[in-house]
Amino acid sequence: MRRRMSLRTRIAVLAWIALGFAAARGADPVVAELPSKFDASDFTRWREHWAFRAVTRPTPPTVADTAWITNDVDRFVLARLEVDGLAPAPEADRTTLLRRASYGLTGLPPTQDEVDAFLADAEPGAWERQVDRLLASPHYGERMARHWLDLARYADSNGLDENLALGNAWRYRDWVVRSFNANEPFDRFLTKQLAGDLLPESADRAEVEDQLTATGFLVLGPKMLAEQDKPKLVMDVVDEQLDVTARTFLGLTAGCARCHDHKFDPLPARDYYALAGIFKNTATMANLEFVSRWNQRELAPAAELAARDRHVERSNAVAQELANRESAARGEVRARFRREFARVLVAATDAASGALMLEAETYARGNLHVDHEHWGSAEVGVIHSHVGGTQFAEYDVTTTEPATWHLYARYAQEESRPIRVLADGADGAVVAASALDAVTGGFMPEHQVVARIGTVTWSAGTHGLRIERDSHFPHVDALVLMRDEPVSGDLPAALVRAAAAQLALERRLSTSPWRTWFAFADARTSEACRAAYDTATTERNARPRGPFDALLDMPMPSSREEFASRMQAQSMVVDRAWDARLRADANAKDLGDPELDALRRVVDRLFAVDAAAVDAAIEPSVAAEIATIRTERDELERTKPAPFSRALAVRDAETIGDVAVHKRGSHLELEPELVPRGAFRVFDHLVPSPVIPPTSSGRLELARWMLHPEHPLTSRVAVNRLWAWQFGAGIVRQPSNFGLRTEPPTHPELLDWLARRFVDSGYDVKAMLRLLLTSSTYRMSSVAGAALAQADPDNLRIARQFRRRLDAEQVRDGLLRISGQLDPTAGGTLLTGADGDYVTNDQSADAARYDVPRRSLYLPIIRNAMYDLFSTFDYADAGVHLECRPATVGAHQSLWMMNSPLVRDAARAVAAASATAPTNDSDAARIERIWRAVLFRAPRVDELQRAQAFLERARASSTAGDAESAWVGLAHVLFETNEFMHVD
Amino acid sequence: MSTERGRGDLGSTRRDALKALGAGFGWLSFAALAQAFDRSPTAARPAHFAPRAKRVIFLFMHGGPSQVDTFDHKPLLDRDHGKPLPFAKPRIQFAQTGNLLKSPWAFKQHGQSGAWVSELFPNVARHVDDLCFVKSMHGTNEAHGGALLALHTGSATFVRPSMGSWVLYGLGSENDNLPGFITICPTLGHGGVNNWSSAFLPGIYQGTPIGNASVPSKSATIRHLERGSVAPEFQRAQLDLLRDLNTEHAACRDHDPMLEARIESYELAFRMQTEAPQVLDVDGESAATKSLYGMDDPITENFGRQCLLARRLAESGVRFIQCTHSYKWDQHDQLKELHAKNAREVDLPIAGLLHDLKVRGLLDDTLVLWAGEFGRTPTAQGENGRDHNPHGFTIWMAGGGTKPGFSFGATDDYGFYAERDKVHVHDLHATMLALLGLDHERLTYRFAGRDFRLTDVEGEVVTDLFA
Repeated sequence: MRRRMSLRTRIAVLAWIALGFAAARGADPVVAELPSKFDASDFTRWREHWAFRAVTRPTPPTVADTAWITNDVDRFVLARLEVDGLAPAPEADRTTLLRRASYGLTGLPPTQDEVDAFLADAEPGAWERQVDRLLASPHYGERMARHWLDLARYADSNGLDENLALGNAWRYRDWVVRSFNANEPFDRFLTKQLAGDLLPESADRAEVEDQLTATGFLVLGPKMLAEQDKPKLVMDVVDEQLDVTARTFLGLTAGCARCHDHKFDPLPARDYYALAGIFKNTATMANLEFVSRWNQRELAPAAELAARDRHVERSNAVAQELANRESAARGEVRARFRREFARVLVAATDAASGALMLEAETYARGNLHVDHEHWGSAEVGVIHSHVGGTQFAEYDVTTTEPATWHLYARYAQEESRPIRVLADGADGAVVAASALDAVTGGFMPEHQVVARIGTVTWSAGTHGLRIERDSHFPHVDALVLMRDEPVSGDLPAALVRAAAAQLALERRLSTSPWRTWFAFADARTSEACRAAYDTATTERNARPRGPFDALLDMPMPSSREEFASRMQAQSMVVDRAWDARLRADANAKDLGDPELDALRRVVDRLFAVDAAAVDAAIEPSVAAEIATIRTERDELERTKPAPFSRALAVRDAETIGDVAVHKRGSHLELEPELVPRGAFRVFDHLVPSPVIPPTSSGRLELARWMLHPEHPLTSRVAVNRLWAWQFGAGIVRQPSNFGLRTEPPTHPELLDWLARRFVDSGYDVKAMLRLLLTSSTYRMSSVAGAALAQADPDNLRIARQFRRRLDAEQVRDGLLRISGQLDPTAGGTLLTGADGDYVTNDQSADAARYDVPRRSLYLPIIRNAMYDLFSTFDYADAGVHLECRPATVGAHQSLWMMNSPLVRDAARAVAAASATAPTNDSDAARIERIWRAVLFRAPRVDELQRAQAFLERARASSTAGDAESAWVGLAHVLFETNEFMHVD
Repeated sequence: MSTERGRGDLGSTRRDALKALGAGFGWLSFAALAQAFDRSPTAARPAHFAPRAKRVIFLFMHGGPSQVDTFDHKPLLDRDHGKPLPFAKPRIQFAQTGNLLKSPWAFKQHGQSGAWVSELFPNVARHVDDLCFVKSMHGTNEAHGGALLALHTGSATFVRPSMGSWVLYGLGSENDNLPGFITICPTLGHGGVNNWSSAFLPGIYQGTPIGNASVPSKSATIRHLERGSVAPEFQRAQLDLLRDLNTEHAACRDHDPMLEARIESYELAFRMQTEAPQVLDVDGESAATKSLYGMDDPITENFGRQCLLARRLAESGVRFIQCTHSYKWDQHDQLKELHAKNAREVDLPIAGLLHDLKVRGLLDDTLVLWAGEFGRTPTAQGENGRDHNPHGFTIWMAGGGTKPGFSFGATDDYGFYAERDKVHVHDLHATMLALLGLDHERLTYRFAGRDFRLTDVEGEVVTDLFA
């Protein structure tokens, strides 16, 4: 077998010829003389590397065949061909050209109408008009964005260890689309991504948002969020940013210099840490908690944020004042009430005797679970829910006369689960739409509290009191109904009633703290009181000690009122002690004596059952003041600014400082000296080092350093990408590596000429693309002829166009567009969950959905679980910078084309569309329509015959139950062809 | 291809050619590929040196099984139960742990080799004379995601190709009609696809998943393998038409190798569609075989099916096969209950696999690896749990040229830190590649200006583990 010259050698030899070095000299003097390993002591010799030399201003060469020249691009290409005695390939036919440019500039195939219009355009400038049309298409930005997002390792999830949704990443993506469509100059496009937040704030609000959103470039990287060595996490993030930034904008593989000087390129570790300082001083993480979070910023001008902050501050202050005033006023009501404690207790006790009690578990109809063991106890049965869905319980209440009742419940819940209460069955009047919403601290019996639900008015008869909820239920112990009747004396009826409800419910419980009192509750005579005293004293020994038991040690009371007074006296002693305690320590939680604390709590609770009743009893003048504050609170709430959108974005760190070289890349082993923030020194001979103020990270200075007109890399790297995106291969074949170990440019003078022109044009991307696409070079056919294909299989001379396989997005978008299913809506997110949710989790659930006919650009890009179409067609990883997509061939791709529902559905749609035909239609005519739909041309005679033969075989097959299936099968085959799958 | 050059030379030439793919000129690679391969980039190719193993079955215990409750017997842990660890805990810990916690399970010696195995693995214990234990494993990451990625890809920090991809890239596959790297019911958490993706290696080297951890292995399939309602003869007619159209198309385009490769790939896909379902269908196996793998018991059925599938794939020449017992072994609490349940689910199937491979003569050249992403602390988390421990844990290998009935390395007296003959995850990778006949320093891929390796710049081959 003939041993071929290695790939590298072939490219290098051709490049040297083009550079003007005599092939006879045998080697590039620069490359040959450079030691194999970089030595950081001296940059001089490395500055001779072709990519690090100044960008030249070559004059377009003269050529023999001037008729072929459309613009100066062609001169460089043709001059090279003429040296080798080669001729350029002929111009491609118009259909091929339009398909090439449509896929290239918009990512979509042309429509049949567009092809027909171009074929019919006999006027001069027809091609230029097509290029201009495509550059003006909104789909242009989408295609360019897709290329750019590959460089920016764009994704909608973090990937790596904790795959959380980057729920706002799409804003960066949509900005990239907008930026390309608006033909934003490349220098501004670059600057915004590295330092948009540091630019002067624009007067245009949309531009303010864009400036912040663009810095998402720095935040998008995958991060090991659960890395517990947080200083390491921080440096890993810095490294990822530095590496992606250097590869994207400079074509340098700087990541290598984290652990040691770069092996081949003149990038010493010291320079790496000069740049690392810039990123280390950039806040990329919002926090470094157990699972850390990336940074996001609100998209608004500083003035709006400040106004919002002032509003929030004012709202908080007013809310605080309101809370303080309400609390004081309610405290005053309760204190007043406590001074009447003995009377209230007696009145409430009497009122409680008329209460109507409903144990929750005794419902007549319902689906709630009854529990006496876990959530309840033997004595306190509760109802609760096992599952979600509609939960309810109905109680039959029989009344003998029309009356109004006040309804209370005893319940417990750790989270708010408000219920609906209806007076009579599912269709009855609503008593309360959202009752029992307050949390009580837990689900257990000890967490139960009593709360008011509302008022129900019934006629005489039986009524189905209903409680219900469309989800999990609070743990309800019992309901109690208190008749709307006057209470004794001048006490506020509502408060007495609430206390009565509480006592009624307490009275059922053998361990109630009120047991001591209940012994006296009905003792209206002194005799009865004596008996009560005996009972209470005996009982005391048979149960846990209660907070009022100590009162039994005093002489026997002569009446229940006297015992109540003693309870009040004791309560007031405790209250005074508590006041003193609070004066000594405003944050005190208790008195430190369990019995006294219990007493204080049970008395508090007696007055906490009905907050509305408490509020109603507030002194009118105080209530008016509170109402004024409440009005202001409501007004502030009403005028609250809408929440601002958030985007992945950075800001400068609060404190700025330099970073030391990390030995072997370890944050645990630092060199003693700090490295001043800066850039790679190898370019110092062309570009002055950035001067970074001590108060800034230096990102803006870094961007300006990159955009210095004499920077040898930024413009070369950028134009090479534009070229590679349109030709399928770059002038430098590794677009993100312009270092020493990469193949030199095939056309170095052309590269420099384009780079200069790009900068001179003010970084006009569309102008550059127009120049490239209107060249004769672009318009060449991709068919080389056997001789040239063999002589230059890699097309290093560019004697023909490059054939390329459609990438994953072009395959899918092409299927959807051709079959008429494409939804061209632009922008927005298709993520189903919330920002920060897990998109894949430990249980391997995958929340992403792809069954929407939107352009592939807008489908969720989920790291760790890429959509199978993407991974099948070489978009396997969205976690790394992709300089260009590989184009592999494998059976997995063929299986996808053969069996995926997307291709089947597209084939079905194309077949169906081809059926809408005039009568007396022949198979041949329908075959032609399918051919034109998928391949934009009529079948040749042999193809027509083969298609007809296929239809016969297909109709004879066992699948042929459906007459259409043969046609669907035919359309399916055309989608599988190399002609569909490639651009010539 | 030429027979004039040495096998190693030929192999490395192919790999050189493949590097071009990663250099980013996809179209160009086909010229190179066409020259380097007879058929496809996954065609079998020679190793760097004589291999001991031809293929790998990786039994992955996701969550981190505890070494001190399974294979690393520590009498002092029993004795000092409840006392504080007499030396420092690691600088970085995932969670806080308390004092020493003895194993709830009794250990016994088994086989000729006298290997200690706890009551958790009574069936695997019967095979200890075939096992090669490494009791001094250590890694660097104390969280699941990092540790999974480190074990699968060699990097706990960045996106890197998985070891299955490296092996397939290095050796190709022995069966053109099946994917060369298959992972059965893998987890989508903790790195997910990155644990079987090819990262910057060409996509043909990525793992092909059969289902994922959220579906039982019984209903797991390879996506797009089934032709649905389309009859084979109908699809054959389609492919015949397709071949004719494509052949004519390529003829007008100088027989571009990229186009010709795709013509062949449809034929391969058609063959795969026929062969793969047969391999994946275990119903034809005898009742005795199914029972050997525990498929007649609902507790062992799921992992048993995975193991039986692994054997069938190994038999069919698949290069790298992974079974995942997903995210079950993470016992921060409920150690007694759940480690017992987990072991019960895998013990019999693993023993069945080892037995079956042995009687079929496959164990000689099949490397079986049993490993979690890390071990667990000998100190207690809560009353009945253990925290993650990447600093010392046990894995074992069997067959594939490893030393049978052998135990290598040791942790300290309590099983916290690897101490004697430490083996890092990088060393394990280097050793596995060496068993497959690949030099981990020569198995490289040029990407972004660097020659990348599975072992990064680390890795020592542990030759003591070789038979």
